[in-house]
Amino acid sequence: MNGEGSTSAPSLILRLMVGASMALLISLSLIAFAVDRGFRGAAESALQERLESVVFLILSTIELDEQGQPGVADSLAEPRLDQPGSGLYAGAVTPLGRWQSSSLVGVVTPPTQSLLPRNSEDFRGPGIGGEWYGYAIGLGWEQPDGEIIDLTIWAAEDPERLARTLAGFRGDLYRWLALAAALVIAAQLVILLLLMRPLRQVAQEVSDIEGGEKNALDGRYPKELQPLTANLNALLASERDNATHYRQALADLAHALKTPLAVLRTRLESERGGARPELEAALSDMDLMIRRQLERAARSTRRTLNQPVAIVPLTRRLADSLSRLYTEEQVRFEVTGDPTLTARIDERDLMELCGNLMDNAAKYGSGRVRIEVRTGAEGSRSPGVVILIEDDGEGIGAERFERLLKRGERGDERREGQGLGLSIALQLIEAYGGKLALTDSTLGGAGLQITFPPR
Amino acid sequence: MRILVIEDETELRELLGRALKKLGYAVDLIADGTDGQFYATEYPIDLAIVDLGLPGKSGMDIVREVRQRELSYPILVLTARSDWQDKVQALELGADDYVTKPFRLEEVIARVQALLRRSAGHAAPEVRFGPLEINLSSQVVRLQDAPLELTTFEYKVLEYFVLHPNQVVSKMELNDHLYDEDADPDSNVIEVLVGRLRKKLDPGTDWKPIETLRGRGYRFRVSED
Repeated sequence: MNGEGSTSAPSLILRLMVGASMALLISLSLIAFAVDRGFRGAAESALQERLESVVFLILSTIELDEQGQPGVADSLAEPRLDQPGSGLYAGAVTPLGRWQSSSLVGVVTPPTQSLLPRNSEDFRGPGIGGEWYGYAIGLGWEQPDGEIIDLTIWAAEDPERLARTLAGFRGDLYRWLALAAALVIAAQLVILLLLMRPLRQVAQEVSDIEGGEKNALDGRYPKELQPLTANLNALLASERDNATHYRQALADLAHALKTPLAVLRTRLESERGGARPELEAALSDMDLMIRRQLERAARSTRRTLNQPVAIVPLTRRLADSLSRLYTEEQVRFEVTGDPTLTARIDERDLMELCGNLMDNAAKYGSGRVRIEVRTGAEGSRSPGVVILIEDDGEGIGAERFERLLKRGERGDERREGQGLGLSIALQLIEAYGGKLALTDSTLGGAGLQITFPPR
Repeated sequence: MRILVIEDETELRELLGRALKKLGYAVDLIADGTDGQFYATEYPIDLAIVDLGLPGKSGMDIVREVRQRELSYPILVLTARSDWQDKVQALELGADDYVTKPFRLEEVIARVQALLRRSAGHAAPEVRFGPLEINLSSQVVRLQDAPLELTTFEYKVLEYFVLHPNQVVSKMELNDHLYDEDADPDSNVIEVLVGRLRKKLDPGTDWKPIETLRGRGYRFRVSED
């Protein structure tokens, strides 16, 4: 009924956290990719502009001698071009010679540039057809004699510089994104815990209702949960009311059916010569049938959530009542056990089964009935319960006990007695997953042990 | 002894009434709970038979009301339900015994006799006072071991004395407990009955158990053996 034995599904918080974290991870990865790409593009554009300005700086200072050999003033406005190994290089190429900046001194594999056609430009980089970032323009240089010589001016930069800038940027980007992710996940967890609080409250209240501490969910719940809690309360109230109404209807039905039977029986007995045996038997059959049907109908009034019933006080009440009924026989009832021990059984059912067995013990004993209530097998939520009912009569014997149980089941009992009481008790015990066993009585008579399983 | 029967089923009520009257009890028959409660609390009743399912007031309410008014006469409950919870509830409210419908008349009679006997403090049906022996169940009376023939009303007077030994019993009280509401006996009927009973109990012996207390009534002065 409560899903015992089935594995529980992952918690809502875990599902939400895993789902939200995955979505966050994918979003942040896409953001990181886009930002990185954008930054790299912007950095390369800035580099190209820088190289262009270097090329135009060279162009503004370059001179070609009569042999067409290019040359540049000793000192340039860009100091990195004069500093060997600075990473920024420049040069000029004509078909007759070339010039290179001083920064190329000592460079093992310097960038090279071939002559470009006039009026063309070229930008290259490690990802775009080269190992260096380079920019070059091809133009025609008019000599004093009017001859036009092809001239290509180029500038290049070591890609390491851009790579370092990019690496620094990426480091910062990933750190900040990771921090943002951690903050978002923490915030999600807090929000989820806050959101789940009303659900945990519902679970707690349902557990309180099950434990008999409450009759309805009375906490303050958010608007979204109110339909659920209102429906649960309505369901609980309707179950309670239905059980009460149904029981009242059954009581009325019993009265309506049995009173005419009582009239018939008393009338038969009042007739001259007493009741005719065949009519008497038919009446007894009708009575038994009505009792059985009413008992069967009463079983359907059981509530889903049974509140725990303290067994010792209940058996003491029964013992007090039975003592009054057996005043002349002077039957003595002893009830022992922890008064706080409870069983989750409908109180009416527990009273019915204990009443039947205690009544039998009083009827068939010789004046002493002992009831012992003790804890049974341990369970995860609550332990089982054992109720032992003993008398000092002649005892039953295993075979007769089995026969009595079967006799009750077969329903051919004509007289209300041990069989019917036992059989009703057994049916009730089994309805709650319990067992009824015949044991030795410390008083010398019959001992009946009821065992209810742990929860 | 006066018995109140509260049962809404006419035929059952009449059958019970007839059976009890046949045994010499004064019987008041009431059909609904409201009247039943009035009779149960306002009339000098020795025992009440109360059906639990009644129109007006329920049988449980009547039992509760009787006990709340500290009336201690025995109450036998008739119930259609055989649930222990109902039985225990009725007994806890103050009922003394129950009979489940459909009952046997003889069972009800036996319970009534046992309850009346127990309420007078007698555990067994046989009661002995000096030379007098009376069986409250079979209604057989013996004096000095010889059967004593008594009329129904003589027996009723003797039974009332026996169940209230050494108590002052007024003529009015005897009247109330021996006759039901509808009966209207002559004022000197009780004196005649007591006189006849005295003659039968005292055939030339010195044993004179019934005392007359001038202006107050009678006293059955005995020591129980």
